[in-house]
This record gives sequence, structure tokens and C-alpha cells, in this order.
Amino acid sequence: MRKGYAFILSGVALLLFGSWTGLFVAPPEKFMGDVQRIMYVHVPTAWNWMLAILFSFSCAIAFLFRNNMKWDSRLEAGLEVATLFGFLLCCQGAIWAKPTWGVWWDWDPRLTTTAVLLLATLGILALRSFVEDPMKRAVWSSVATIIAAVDLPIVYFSVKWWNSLHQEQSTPQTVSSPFHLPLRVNAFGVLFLMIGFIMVRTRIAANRLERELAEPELA
Amino acid sequence: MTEGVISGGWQFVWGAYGITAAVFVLYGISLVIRLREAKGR
Amino acid sequence: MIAALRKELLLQWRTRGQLMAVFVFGAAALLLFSFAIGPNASALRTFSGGFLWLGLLLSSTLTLAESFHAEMENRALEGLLLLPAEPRTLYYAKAIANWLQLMVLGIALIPVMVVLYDAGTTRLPTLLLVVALGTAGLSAPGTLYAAMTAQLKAKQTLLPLLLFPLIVPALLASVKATSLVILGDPMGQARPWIVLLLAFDLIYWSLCGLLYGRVIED
Repeated sequence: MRKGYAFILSGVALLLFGSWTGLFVAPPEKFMGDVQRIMYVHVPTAWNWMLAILFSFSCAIAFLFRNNMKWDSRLEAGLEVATLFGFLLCCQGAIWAKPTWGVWWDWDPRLTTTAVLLLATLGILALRSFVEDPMKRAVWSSVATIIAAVDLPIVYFSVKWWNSLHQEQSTPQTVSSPFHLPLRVNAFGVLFLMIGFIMVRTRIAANRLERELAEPELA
Repeated sequence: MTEGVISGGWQFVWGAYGITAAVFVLYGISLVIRLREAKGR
Repeated sequence: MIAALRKELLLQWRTRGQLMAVFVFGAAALLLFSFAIGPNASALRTFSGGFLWLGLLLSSTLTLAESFHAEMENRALEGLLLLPAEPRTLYYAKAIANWLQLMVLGIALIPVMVVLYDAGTTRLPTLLLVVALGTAGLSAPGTLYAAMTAQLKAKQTLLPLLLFPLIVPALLASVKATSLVILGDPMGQARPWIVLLLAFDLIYWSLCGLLYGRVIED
């Protein structure tokens, strides 16, 4: 678990540095003023949330093809972290929305599809808690994850395809350069944090699986 | 959409950063606890 | 495939009393929605599309769960696996049967909607198309998840929990298209929504069929 903890700690360090830069060094934005600084946590969270979903999708596919339970443990970790990040994302978004859009929430395409995906991953976690047979649980979670992941490209492209209240995707083209450093540092910070979380959470899941499979089958 | 400049609003910024930090820290602690439990058995 | 479909339709025909009950449930739901708004005629008309689809969605949780009832009762699910038919065929047979059932339900609820919300339309063929495509969007993932949750004890709660987030896009498109058909569509916006619905249907019908085999194996 040393690698996992190392990732977490380096992630925290990066986040501390990135946030300090974002809060105190980067200039305020032209229209949104200081409120825009929320971007330095919101966008990294968003990127890594999507990565977590992509990771979960990959584990689901890997499991269905290989039938190796280690992919199920990783899937469980990926789903939990994705749900956590998704929830955090909506909170950060709401806090940013209140002063800029005037409302905590809006049913525009980006927010709606994001909420859909968040509820979907939450539902899969709920499904897992109801299925006792580890094999069945693994197969069903994988299937459900693949179906849920269909929403991910829709979330990503929603701001491009529809007239959305939400800003366009953040790229070096759409974000001006004084903002790049804290954004990138925090992005890596959250990434390392996420990798660390997933590694530790996978170990927890694997341990539980070990115990479940070792117990004698109760008819 | 938004016209003009939004001034201030630091409480929102602290709110967002604060909840981010809180969620990460609490989740991290929960992981450590759950890992100990999983290993201890 | 035809045989499997015939069997499903026969099963549905035998239990058509239940469909009647679900229709009453759906109609009651539409009535209750109107109470939420009150006697505001124009508001009722505005939201009639949404109400129709909400009513259909709620009814679908009943019919979808029911569709696996027979298999679960007699443990026929395992029996089916022994047949020389591919699971995919069985899935499509059931999904099509569920789709037809939901379509019948949807079409039956249209007059209820017209009466309760004064939501008539001259573009009936388009409305029927939307109902057909929308119910297809409900049926595909619904059948897959019904197969899963039928085997669990908490099936009543889990099916809606799993299904609802996934069909939100299809539902949204159906509601938008329906509302445009009812309220008037000067800029021809219904077509992109219908195309979107079609896209969802194609994606989900292929994806769910592909995955079904793994869901019912033991």
C-alpha cells in the first residue's frame, strides 16, 4: 500500500501548491472576478471524474472478457471514487453557479447528463450491495457500468452539441495563460489523489472478496 | 448571461475549496479505517 | 426468434388483465398529476407531454418487472438457457414484447391525456411515432434490468433505481417531442428530438442485446 499512499500524499502536495497559486497568485478573471478561482478545483475534479468513469468502463470490459475478479475489485473502487467525485463536482458547480448564474442548479444539457451519470453510478453501487453472490455481482455491475458509460461522451460533448448554460470545454485554447499553471498543477494533484484512492480502495475490495470466496458456501 | 463584473464573492471560493478539501480528507480517512478493518480480520 | 416472440406475446395475451390494471394505474397517475397543477388549463396543456411520459415511465416499472414474473415463478429462466436458442434471441423477443405492451399502454393513455389536459393534436402520426420510439427506449434497458433485478429480493426498489437515470435522455427527448407536437412546432424542432430518440434506441437495443447473455447466465 506504500505506492497508494505515496500517490495520495503527492496528490495532496500538488493540490496545496496549485490551490495556493490559484487563490493568491493568479489574477482575477475579467468578468467573474475572484469567483472564477473555483475553476481551479472544479475543472480538475471534472476531468478526473470523467477519467474515473472511463477507468470503471475499462475494468468492466476487462472483467467481462477475462472473468478475473481483480477487475471487479478495481471496478468497485472506480465506481466509488467516480460517485464521490461526481457528487463533489455537483457541489462545487452549484457553489460556482449561485453567484454567476443566480441559481444553484439548472436543467441544462451538461448538468442534466452529469446528474444522470452520477445517479447511474450510485445506482450500480446500490445494486452491488444487494447481490450476495460475488460472481453475479461482478457480472451485473460490469454490464450496468457499460450501459451507464454510454452517457459519458454525451456529458463531454453536451456543451458543444447543445446551447448550454455551462461553459465550453476548458482547453489551452479556451483558457488564458495566467490560469494555466494552477489549473494544471491541481489537475495532476487530483489525478494522483484519485489514483491513490483507487489503489487503496481496490485493496479493500479485494480483501473482502477474499473473505467471501473463502467462506464455505451456505446453501 | 452575466453582465459586468462580479466583485468579491470570496465566500463562494472558500466554500468550494473547503468542501473539496473536506470531501477528500474525509474520504481518505474512511479509506484508512476500512483498510485497517479489512486487514485486521 | 419468431417462436420466442410468439411465446412472449401469448404470455402477454394470457395476462392481459394485468395490462388493464396497469392502464388504470397510468390513468390514475395522469389524474394525480393534474391535481398537482390545479385547474390551470394552459399549464396543464403545457406539461401534458411530461405527464404522459412520467405516467408511462411509472407504469413501465410494473410491466417490466411483471414480464419476468413467469420465468421466476417456475425457475423457467434456467430452462430457457437449456434451449438451443441464443440468449440474445430471447432478449430481443422479450424486449419487443415489452415494447409492444408499452406502446399499447402509451396509445391508450393518449386519449386520457387529451381529455384531462385538453392536449389534442392534429399531428397524430408524429405523436404515435414519438410514442413508438420512446417506449422502445424504455423497453430495451428496462428488459435487461428487469432480468437482473427479478433474481433479487429487493427487485421493487432496484429496477427503478437502476433504470431511471439511464433513460433520462430518452425520456427528455420523448417529452420534448411530444410537447412540441401538442403545443405547436413553428420551427420544426420536433425532428432533431426524434432523431435523437432514434439514436438512443439504436445504441441501447444493440448494447443491451450484446450484454444480455452475461446477465442471465448462472
